[in-house]
Amino acid sequence: MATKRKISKKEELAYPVLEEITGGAKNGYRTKSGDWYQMYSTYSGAFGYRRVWARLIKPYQLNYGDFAKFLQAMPEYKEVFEEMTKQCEIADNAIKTFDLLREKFVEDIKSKFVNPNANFETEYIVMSDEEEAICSELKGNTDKLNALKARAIELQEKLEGLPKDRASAPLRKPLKEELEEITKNLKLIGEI
Amino acid sequence: MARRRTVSKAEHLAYEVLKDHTTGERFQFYTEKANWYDIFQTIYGYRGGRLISPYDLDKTEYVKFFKLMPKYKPILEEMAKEANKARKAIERYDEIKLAFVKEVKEQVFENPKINFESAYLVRTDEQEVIYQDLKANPDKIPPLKDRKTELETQLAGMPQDRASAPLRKPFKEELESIINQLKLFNEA
Repeated sequence: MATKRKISKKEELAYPVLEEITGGAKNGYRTKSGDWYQMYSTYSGAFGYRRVWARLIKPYQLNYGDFAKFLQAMPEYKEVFEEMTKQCEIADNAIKTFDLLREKFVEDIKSKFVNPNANFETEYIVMSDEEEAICSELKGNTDKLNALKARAIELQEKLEGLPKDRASAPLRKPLKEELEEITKNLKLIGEI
Repeated sequence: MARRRTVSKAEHLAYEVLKDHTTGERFQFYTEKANWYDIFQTIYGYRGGRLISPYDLDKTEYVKFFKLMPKYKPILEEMAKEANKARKAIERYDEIKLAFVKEVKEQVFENPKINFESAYLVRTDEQEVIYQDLKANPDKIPPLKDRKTELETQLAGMPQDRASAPLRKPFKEELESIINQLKLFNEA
């Protein structure tokens, strides 16, 4: 059975929140900015013809081209269109702010608590408090990490140099245990 | 060549405006409310999130998340607030737009069930006056048709040589004027 990836409690709790406001685990928790075209369109027919039934109207548009001609001929609709553009502007600004906040939030969560390179659809195990303490200690300390890696290599070399017979097993045991412990810790932070 | 329908200037201008803001002439200038679900949808079909509402933040997963990471609560609250603002504005926009399209269809379009993709001619101001007059008084159409037949019979009974052209001219002119009027209603 493949080894399950380990994640922090924070990461575990971030998943359902991200699932709602992003494309979800399936899409690497990517986001997409709000799109009027998508909101006001649908596919129809066997050939997938796209039917669009609204576009964002900007206030300046009312002074040009078709709108200007139409409103000149039917000024009674001017107020209606002005109100429509006003609402469009409010909605557009709110969606942009929402997108901006969301983007920052998702980026922050991803950079601090989530391993961005993980396949989020794979199963995971939540780290214990003890494991989490080791993990946070190692993540913030490059010197310790390097020392551990060096010690792991040293132990491997030592173990290779020791006789492999049964009688020497007690000699190898403490070294093996230490190596296992180091390997486990390094795995926690995805270094091996 | 098939006869072209005629439309008023107002209807022609309404087509141009509605074209971009409804499904257009192909789909009878149809419009409906926004699909909130699709706002963050990509063209490849995956949904890049959804607009959260303030109620969502009371859900267990959010509560648990905020308990462990409280610094994100204000951000998500602000997001929910903005989403609410957008939702309200779009609902209002939809409401106004649907009412506008309905009104235009009822009051500006002469026949909302026509094939809007068919070619048309825009009536001149003069034609518009005649059209409105005949539309208001449809009983004027049968006498016009009768007069047309009468003029056609009279013209057929006249000598067709060049010397008689001045004789035929007033009849011809009247006939043309009647035909133009009847054409506005596709009656000629």
